[in-house]
Amino acid sequence: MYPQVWVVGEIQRLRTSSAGHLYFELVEKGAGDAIVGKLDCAVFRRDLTRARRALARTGQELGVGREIRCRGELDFYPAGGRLQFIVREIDAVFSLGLVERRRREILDRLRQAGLHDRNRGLAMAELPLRVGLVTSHGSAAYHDFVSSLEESGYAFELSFQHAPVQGSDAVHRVVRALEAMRVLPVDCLVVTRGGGARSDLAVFDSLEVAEAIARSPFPVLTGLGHETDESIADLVAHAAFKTPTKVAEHLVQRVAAVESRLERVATALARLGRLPVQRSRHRLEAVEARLPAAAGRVRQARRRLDELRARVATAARVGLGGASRRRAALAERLVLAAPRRVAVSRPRLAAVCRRIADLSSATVREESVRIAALARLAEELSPRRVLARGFSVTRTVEGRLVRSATELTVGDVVGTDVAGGSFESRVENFRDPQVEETK
Amino acid sequence: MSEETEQSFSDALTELEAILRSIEGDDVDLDSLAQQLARAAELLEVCRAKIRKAEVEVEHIVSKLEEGDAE
Repeated sequence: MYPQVWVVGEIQRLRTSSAGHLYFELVEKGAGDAIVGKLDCAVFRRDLTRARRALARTGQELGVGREIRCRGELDFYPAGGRLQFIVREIDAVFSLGLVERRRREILDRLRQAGLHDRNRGLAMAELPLRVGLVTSHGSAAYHDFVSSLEESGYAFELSFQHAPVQGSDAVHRVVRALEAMRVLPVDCLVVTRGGGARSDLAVFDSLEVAEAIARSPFPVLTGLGHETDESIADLVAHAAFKTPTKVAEHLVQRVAAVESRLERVATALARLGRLPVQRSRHRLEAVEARLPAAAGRVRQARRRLDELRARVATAARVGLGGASRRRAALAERLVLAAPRRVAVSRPRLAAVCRRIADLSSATVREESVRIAALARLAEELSPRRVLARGFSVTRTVEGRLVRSATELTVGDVVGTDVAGGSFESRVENFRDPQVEETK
Repeated sequence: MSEETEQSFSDALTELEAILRSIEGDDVDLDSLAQQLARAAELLEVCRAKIRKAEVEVEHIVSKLEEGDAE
């Protein structure tokens, strides 16, 4: 029998036997995670139950990759010819410290990579109706969440990705589910887990899940069903809630807030919508009211015109008075000036008269000569002179000149003027002048 | 005139008020008074029509909003 010792190492190749014993390799890693020491370990069923209970009290469990400090002793196992370390006790406090240290390391790495606050920096949709859910299908977490959304009556659209949140490949499955969500048309992601052992939370303390949440293009809300510590997933998420139901309530409240805001806006719009039209109407009515008065400008213009006419008449009268005074003065001047003008004109008039008289006597002389000539001519042509030359003039008793023998008939009494007197005679017969001439 | 139908309510009202100021001024031009009044009447009709249209539309929308509230 070897003395009991404390050994520290990381669990690898973990398996449980049909008898309920636990077997694993405890390894020590050196630079670059190279294994520099390895010890085959066995935990018998009774010790295992006690160890698990102790670990569970601080929310831990045994698993691959977990570093533990354990007390036990070396034992030779004759059947396999193997030397192995029989674990009697696992130091839960050591493991817890390691868990915390590892948490801090992961958080440091996330901070350095700029991932710690990355998801929180995303803007949460005002109306997060399209929800991506990552959880274990059929779990209480799933039902609590989905029924809370349904009860709200809002039209939530759920995109679901199943991921077991317990078990050896839980980390991988959760990461894959989160990544599958990247291409879906959602407003936010919800990752939930329905209660259970604190140890299950190991998945949500992993770097991989934390990174997947931090890098998600959508805000991630967690509802991991624990009452005390926050997991790393909670720390990097957009918001963390205790339970799936609380996540659902948060989403419902957010939608309800938007709805009530919309209602307030609608009420305000209904109240204010009429105002601009009313204001415009009042402005127009003010113009309408003033316009007829403006039309009265015509009457006003007429009054002004009347006034103007009156003034013109007055001015005209005043002007006329002035004119008549001026005319009287002018007349007076004329009266005074006239005799003077006459006196001045008189000698000139006499001269003109004399000239006219002179001109007249000259004309009279010329005319006397012409008249004498004409008188001589008239004398020459007078019937007396003609009669004196032997011609006679015969007239009927009525005094009509007889120019032709045909104007007379036998028995007609005619008077004939000759030089030195006249006589009456009766027509006895006619001599044919043609016959006479032919004789 | 087709331009009048294009004219905004605000422009029409501004023009209307300018005409009013011009008419109400001390040196109103009688030659253009009738013309200005005719234009004012025309603008008034444009504005009235626009307001009637706006009122009907706003009333329709507001009543729909109020229906939404009642729900």
